Amino acid sequence: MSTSKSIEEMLFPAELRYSKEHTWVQATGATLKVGISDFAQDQLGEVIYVELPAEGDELDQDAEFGVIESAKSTSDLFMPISGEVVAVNHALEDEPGLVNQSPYQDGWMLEVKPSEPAQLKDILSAEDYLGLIKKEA
Amino acid sequence: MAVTIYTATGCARCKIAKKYMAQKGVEYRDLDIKAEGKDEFNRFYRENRKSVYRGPDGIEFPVYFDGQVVKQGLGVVVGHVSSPKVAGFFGVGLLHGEWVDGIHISQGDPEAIDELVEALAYLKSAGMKFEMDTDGRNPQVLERLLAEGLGDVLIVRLIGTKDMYAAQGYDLAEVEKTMALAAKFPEYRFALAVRPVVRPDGAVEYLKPEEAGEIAAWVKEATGGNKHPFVLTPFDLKAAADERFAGLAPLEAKDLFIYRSKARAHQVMAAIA
Repeated sequence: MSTSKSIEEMLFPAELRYSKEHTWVQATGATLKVGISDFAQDQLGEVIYVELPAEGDELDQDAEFGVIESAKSTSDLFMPISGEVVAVNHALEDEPGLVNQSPYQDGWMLEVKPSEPAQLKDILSAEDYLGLIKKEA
Repeated sequence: MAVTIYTATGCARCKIAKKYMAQKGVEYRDLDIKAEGKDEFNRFYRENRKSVYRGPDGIEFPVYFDGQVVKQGLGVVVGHVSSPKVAGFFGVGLLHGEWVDGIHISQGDPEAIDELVEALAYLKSAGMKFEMDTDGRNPQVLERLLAEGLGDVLIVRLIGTKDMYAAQGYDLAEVEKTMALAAKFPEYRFALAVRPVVRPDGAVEYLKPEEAGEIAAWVKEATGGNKHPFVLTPFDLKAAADERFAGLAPLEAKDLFIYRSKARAHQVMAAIA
């Protein structure tokens, strides 16, 4: 697995949690925001297309929620937690590069109302996620 | 509408395609997707995503767009620029480096042979080598390419026994001529996928080992030799669109041992890929 920047250069905010499928989750009151990690966007390269679900869709943990494509690769996106999609980042339709430029802020993808909050225990801390990607890299 | 050609930074195949377009007097806009063409390519991709081919290494470059059709890959673009009449000969390939594949001899219009030769001669002059395939049709095209020194690797994809070819309307003399010409290529192989067959009574079953032997014997008869590269492959059931094959169990490489034994009686180099 190759990256354009070293893992030490990547950012993994401690206040977020991370799935093994390289999405991040941020608690925002009753909902959770979801996006992909700095490691994932770096692996993909320049993102040119993001397909996201519709608001109102109900998806299970680990279900495919979308597709992200760069010139060199295409990847499925997987739900870190079960729940209803209450918002999607429509800005990515015209500016998919936001995922590269700002993976944890402007490049967010979904806002989810979790149906099984207990699943959060399956999601890794920043420290544990860093350990995981060091093994993968 | 003017042609736009999207290229990737450092893409040697893109440079070869652009040089040919310039030689042919085709006016085009050249946009590097990593530099000045980034935003425009991203818009183009979102609008034409379903028409853009992605191979194992991602989007195949160069990408040619004339406002109506999208053409991708060195062989396809050069073929299209040479003449839309040769389009049937070219599909998007998978090989890279100095190789151009996806050249389907049996699927093109033999009337466009001059245009095909022109396109391939240009690619050869640019240092490219060709991997071509055929199901047996259009031997006159193979003959011409051999005469022009444009043959590198040829794969003859065998579809069945003589009876099976005849039932599908093939001219057996053409197929036999193709087999004989194949053996004159610098590198070649006969490839037989052990595929499901629909029998005249409607029964669906795999090609029989005896039939693989019969096909290998036919190659011997047509070429006068029994030491040709002859490769047996399991058929990819998952890729088959025919619903009649749904009840069949997939064949594994070990299931092909008996096919190899039958084929080796007539082609001593028969092997399982």
